[in-house]
This record gives sequence, C-alpha cells and structure tokens, in this order.
Amino acid sequence: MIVDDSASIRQVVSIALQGAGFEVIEAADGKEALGKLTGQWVHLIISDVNMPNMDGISFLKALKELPDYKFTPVIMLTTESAEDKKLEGQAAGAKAWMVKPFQPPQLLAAVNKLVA
Amino acid sequence: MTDEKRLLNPAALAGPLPAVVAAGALLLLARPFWLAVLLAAAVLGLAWLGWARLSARFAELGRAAAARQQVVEQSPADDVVVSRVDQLATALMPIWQRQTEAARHQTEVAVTELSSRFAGIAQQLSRNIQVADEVAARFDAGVDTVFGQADRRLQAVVASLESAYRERDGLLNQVSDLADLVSELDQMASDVARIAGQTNLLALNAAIEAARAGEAGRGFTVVADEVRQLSRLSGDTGRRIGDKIEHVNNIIAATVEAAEATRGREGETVETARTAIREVLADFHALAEALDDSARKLRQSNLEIKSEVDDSLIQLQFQDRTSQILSHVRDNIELVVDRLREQGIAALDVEDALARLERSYAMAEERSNHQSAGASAAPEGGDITFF
Repeated sequence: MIVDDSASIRQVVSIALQGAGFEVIEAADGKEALGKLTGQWVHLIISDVNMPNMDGISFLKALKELPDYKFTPVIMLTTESAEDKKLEGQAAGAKAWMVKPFQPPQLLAAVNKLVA
Repeated sequence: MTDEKRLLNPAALAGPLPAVVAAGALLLLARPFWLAVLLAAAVLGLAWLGWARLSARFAELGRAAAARQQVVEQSPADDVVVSRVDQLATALMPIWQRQTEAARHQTEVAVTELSSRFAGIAQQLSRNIQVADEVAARFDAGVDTVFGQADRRLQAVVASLESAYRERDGLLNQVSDLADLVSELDQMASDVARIAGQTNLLALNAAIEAARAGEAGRGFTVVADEVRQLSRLSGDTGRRIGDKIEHVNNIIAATVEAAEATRGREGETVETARTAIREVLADFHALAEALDDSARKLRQSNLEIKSEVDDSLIQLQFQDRTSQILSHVRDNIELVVDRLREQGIAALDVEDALARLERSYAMAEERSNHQSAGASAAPEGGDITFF
C-alpha cells in the first residue's frame, strides 16, 4: 500500500512495484488508508509524512494499534530529512526512512528486503 | 472631558481652604493651647493627604482624556490605511492565493500524466528486453542444432563419395589383377604356338624318315601328315587366342589409363567438396554470429533507454516538492487574509504568521529559504535509513 497526497508519487511507486509483480493499493492520506486497510490485508506499507487529514506519524501510531498490522513493516517515504523527524518515525514503529526523490530500484530493494 | 477639568480646578483652589479655616478656629477657641495646636496640626495633615490623593486621581483622568483626544485627532489618516489593507485582503491577496493554487494544481496534473507515460514506456522496454532474450536463447539453441546437423549430413555425403571412390578403386585393382591373369594367358598362348611349331618340325622330320623307310614307312607318313595338320590347327588356334588376348589387353590398358587419369582429379574433387562444405558452414556461422551481435546491441540499446526513462521518472518527482512549497505559501496567504479581515492591520500578529509558516515546512530547502534569500537547490535524496 502507498499512502501519499501527491498523485504523481503514488503513480511512480505503483508502477515501480507493479513492474516487479506486486499488487498496489493507493490512499491519499492516513484516514483513507486506515479505511481501506479494514477491508483487506497488505504485506507492507509505504507512507508519506506530511499529509492533510492525518499525517504519516499519526497514521503509523494508529496502525500499530490494529492487531492485524502490529508487525507489518512500514517504510516512510518523505521529503523530510531532519534527524528529529527520523527519530519520531523510528519511535512510532517505522522499519525504514527513505528521502525523496527516490530511485525505483532502491525502493524495490528495500521492499524485497522487508517483505522477505 | 471638560467636566473633569472643571472638577480639577475648583479642587485645586477649594481643597485646602476649609481645613485651614478649621485649624485657625481651633487655635483661637480651644483650651489648653498645646491641645489646640495638636488638633490643628492633625486637621491640616489629614486634609493635605486627602487632597494629594484626589489631585493624583484627577491627574490620571486628565491624562487619559488627553490621550483619547490625541487618538481622535489622528483618525482621518488611519482610515486611509485601514481601507487600503481591506482592499489588499479582499481583492489582491485572494488572487495571489488562487494563482498559486492554479500553478500548483496544473503542474500536478501534467506531471502525473507524464509520469504515467514514462512508466508505460519503461514497462514496454522491459517487455522488449525479455522477448529479445527469449528469442536470442531460442536462436542460439537453434543455430547449434542446425549447424551440427548440417555438418553431420555434409560429412556423410563426403564419406559416401569417398566410399564410392574406394569401391571403384577396388574394382580397378581387380582389373589390374585380370591384367596379370591375361599376361599369363598370353604366355600360355606363346607356349602353345611354340609347341605347335615344334610339333610341326617333329612331324616334318618324321615324314622325311618315313619317306626314307620306303613302303614300310607309308602308314607312318599318313600319321605324320595328320600330326602336321593338328599342329597347324593348334598354331592357328594359338594365334587366335593370342589375338583375343591382345584385344583384352588393349581394353584393360585403356580402362586403367582412363582410371589413372581421373584418379588424380578425384582427390581434388573430394578436397574441393570438403573445402566448399567448410566455406558454406563458415558463412552460415558468420551470419549467425552477426545476427547474435545485432540482437545483443539491440538489447543493450533497450537497457540504456530504460535507464534514461527511469532517471526521468526520478526527476519528475520534483513536482511533489514544488507542490508542497506552493501549498504552504498558499495556506499562509489564506491565514493572513482571514486575520486581516477579522482583526485589521493593527492587530495582525506577523510573528505568529511567520511561526505557523515555519512549522508547516517539510523540507530542508524551505527552512534554509526561510532564513536567508539565497536560492537553495533540491537535495539528491534517495538515502534510506533502516531501523
């Protein structure tokens, strides 16, 4: 699942992952993501940090409350590179922090590593 | 305002007067004298305290009145400022907001479309590479099979050609053996002729002896004549055999000569056939290699293009950054417009608006631009930290 308010980012991530054989679900913010997750299960979530309605860190915290998703790996994909934000993400339970712009092969490598 | 001024002035004049009068009366009328002095002093003291407090209060009221008067006197100029600010907030700044949002939105739509197309191209190229690889694999396998088969078949043809030649050589050897046989026959024919000749001589001698013997030799003469006839016949037969043998010899010689003549060429023919086969196979091999080389170059080209397209997709991510920067600016404009409308320019807390803008930042370059005017470029990005 890719959670990001930017349509072009969702597009690029979807295509990069679909090319490698993954099925991708899109959501524009944390709230929408939580809504979509109640109906189906995903192996891994990629999320932006700065989003309207519900930001990435709040979404991550809410996600870890759900029993189905307690151990699901989450990669934060964001323009933020500040150390304090990274630590916030780590504390909230993220498995990785990737700074945009990203290289599709790098993202794929990270996804494969965490899904295995 | 003027009422207070009126209050002030009489208080200044009339305040201490009753107290002074009272003090004087006490001094004149009261006994003993020392008590009178004490009482008078007390009355004066109290009066002075009360008056001081009252006048301070009136001074305060007077200052407030003066200040308000000052503000009232300034209001014509303030009106102009307020109306200008109002215009700014209701007419101009909303336009800034709308145009900023329009720019942000249009870029987002266009770049999303572009990303989609580039991604489609990248997928198509991946498929091309895959197909090319499959074809190359089949081609290589096919070439090896065909090459092997062709080689084996052609070698078989050369082998059967060589075996035909060997058979013919075998036949020729048999023919040569015949020649030996025939020369033996020739020898035998000569012997027969010689024997015939000698027999004839012998018969002649016998006839002569028989003639000398006279009557007694007459029977022997007949026998001798018969023998002479026989030997003539043998001689003729021998000569006919000899002629036949010569004929056969001529045939054999001619055959061998003809065979010898071609034998030299045969070696050449086989060698020529071998060479021709090798050349054809070599040409075929070169062609296969050229095709393989083309396929490899095509695949490489596809890979390079795909790499370029992947890079372009990364570059297009700039739109996400510009969109964020523009929306932060747009939101801050909206905030300031709302506050100007509600509270006016005098109450606008610029510090707060700045602080809110800074809090909304999500990128290092936004923060650095907030501090100084130098334009900072977008970072390389892409670094990943695992927790």
